[in-house]
Amino acid sequence: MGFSDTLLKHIRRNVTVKVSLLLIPPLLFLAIWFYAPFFIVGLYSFDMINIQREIVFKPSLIHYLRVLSWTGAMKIFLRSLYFAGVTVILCLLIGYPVAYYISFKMKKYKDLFIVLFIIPFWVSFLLRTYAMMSILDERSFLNVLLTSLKLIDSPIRIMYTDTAVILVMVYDYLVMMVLPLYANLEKLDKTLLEAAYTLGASPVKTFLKITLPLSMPGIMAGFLLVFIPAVGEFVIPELVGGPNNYMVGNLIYEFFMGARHWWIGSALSMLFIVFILSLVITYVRKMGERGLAF
Amino acid sequence: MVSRRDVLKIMVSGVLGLAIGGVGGYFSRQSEIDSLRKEIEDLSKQIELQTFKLEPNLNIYNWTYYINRNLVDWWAKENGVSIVYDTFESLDEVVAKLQTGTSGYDLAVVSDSVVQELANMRVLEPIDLKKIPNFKHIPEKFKNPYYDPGNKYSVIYSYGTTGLGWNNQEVAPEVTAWADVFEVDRHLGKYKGKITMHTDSIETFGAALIYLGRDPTSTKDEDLREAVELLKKQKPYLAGYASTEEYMAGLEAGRFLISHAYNGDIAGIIYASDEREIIITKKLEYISYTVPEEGALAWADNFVIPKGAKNIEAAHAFINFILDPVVSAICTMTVKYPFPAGKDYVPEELRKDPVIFTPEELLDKLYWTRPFTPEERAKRAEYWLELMAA
Repeated sequence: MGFSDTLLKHIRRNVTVKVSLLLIPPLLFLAIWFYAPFFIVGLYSFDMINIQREIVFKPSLIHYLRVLSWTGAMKIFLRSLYFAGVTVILCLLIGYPVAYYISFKMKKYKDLFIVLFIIPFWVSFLLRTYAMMSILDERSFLNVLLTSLKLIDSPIRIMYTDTAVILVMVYDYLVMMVLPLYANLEKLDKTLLEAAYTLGASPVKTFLKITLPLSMPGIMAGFLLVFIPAVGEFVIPELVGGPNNYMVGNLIYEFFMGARHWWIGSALSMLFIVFILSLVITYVRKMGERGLAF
Repeated sequence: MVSRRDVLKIMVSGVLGLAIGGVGGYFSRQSEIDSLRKEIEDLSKQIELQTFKLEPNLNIYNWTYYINRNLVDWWAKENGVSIVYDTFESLDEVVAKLQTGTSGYDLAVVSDSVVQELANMRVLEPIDLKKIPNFKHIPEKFKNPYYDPGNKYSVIYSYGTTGLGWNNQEVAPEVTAWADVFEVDRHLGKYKGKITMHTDSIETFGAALIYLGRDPTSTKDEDLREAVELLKKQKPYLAGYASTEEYMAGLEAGRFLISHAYNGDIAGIIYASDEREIIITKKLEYISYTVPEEGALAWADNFVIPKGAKNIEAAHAFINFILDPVVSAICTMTVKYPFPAGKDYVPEELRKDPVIFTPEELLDKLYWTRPFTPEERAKRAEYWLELMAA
């Protein structure tokens, strides 16, 4: 090994050391503002903090057992999965063609279209939801327009139904599906498609055999980015949902804020996090680490 | 001797001096205002408002949007006291600060449910009623409350109820009782999908329990079971369980016709109030508020003097000032929350409006909430969860 090699190695090592120094601030930030509170949530859930807010070293599962015995909670959890599931499927069905079209068919204005797509999402999420409320409402201009044009007989009632919740969730989360899909499709080697056509594959076959499998990481990324916040959503069901749209997020909120029973609230949160974590782990196992680099 | 009417003028002048435009409906012409001002100047030379010496500072901690700020400024100037007036938006904020016993505030306004808790923690200074002669103007029903027997640590500030806000143009006959929203052959069936109950489980369980003739603060299983069964039957007819912003917007827009609501929220949309202006004309005529005849849950806010307060004389003097019937009346006219001492001095239309003052005959039917233990809250939340899942 020559001298220059050693020198190079030395420099490289130092650079790595310096780069890793850059990691300290964000890690510290996460440790203080995320992991530490999360650890406290853990302590609460195992009944290790008493009512005087002191730590006691007597872990117990009572709160978990209590929560797991509630059939109502299970029903609410399944309901959340259902709403998030429908949302993610609709986002995919709407988002995939959009990403596909922009990536494959557009030549000139790609960036413009992506920006146009993102712009609404620069507006606060709450504001957008309120805007949707005024459209979905029975007395909205949409209903007034449709009835005055005699296209419908009586105003459509969407507010405070399941449809409203799903509609608003799709609207609010769609961009989270389109962006990773678009990024993924952009990276797809288009010469593969040409090869398929040259070898006589039909467009449908090309799509099913090449594009779709290669875009799986994008789909999975979009799925996680939409599904995880959707399943924990509590603002949208609260604002546009009816009496039957109570979701897991609302449940956790109720125990922390309404009942101010942090122990049960923490146990619910922990169970929920374990569920989400197992989803992510399955995903990473399946896709490998590159799955996280969308 | 200064008459009540003169004091009224002095007080109103405080409002006038800072926001002349704001007293529409009271004194409208400039000449009236000028002559009044002259009269007031003469009067204020004759009277001495305080009989004991005050400290130079007073730090007050109150809910947002809850007093006539011009009166506060006027009192400070009049007494040479420099006031720091801070506000909070949730009970947690004020409790957290007062708990420490070193909040730095001399006067705070807190809800009934925590007065006892704070007193037990020994973070309140006793209140000397001898220094608050205006205490006598408070109606008996608001003295000596369950949470502070003998008014040792607190004096009522304002109170409110949770009842039914409704659209008086589209709803007929008028809403009078909880039965209207719990019985299908009454409004519940007729206005299906247009009625909301409160999203706070304490309120909604409270309403159901009152309708059932039970203690609204009950944590007994048989009571909660019956309440949850009643609510489950009601649920398919509801538009939802709504919180403040939702039912305020919903009632205003006509999406909801009847909402289980706090009186102050409904007053807020009816009058579009401002804390520096006296507005007594209604902005929305089509919204009404009813305290159901079976009774309703009530809450009360109270003056307390936090431990470690350095300006105790000034704090007492300020309480006494607010309890002056005329000052209370002006505060009521401003923020549309009832200040009990001022009832006789507000214009009749406000006095008779149940959104502000609970009708006399229903005062006995107000139920006060009580502090629940975490376990009691969890138990109620468990029943609530059953309702939500149903």
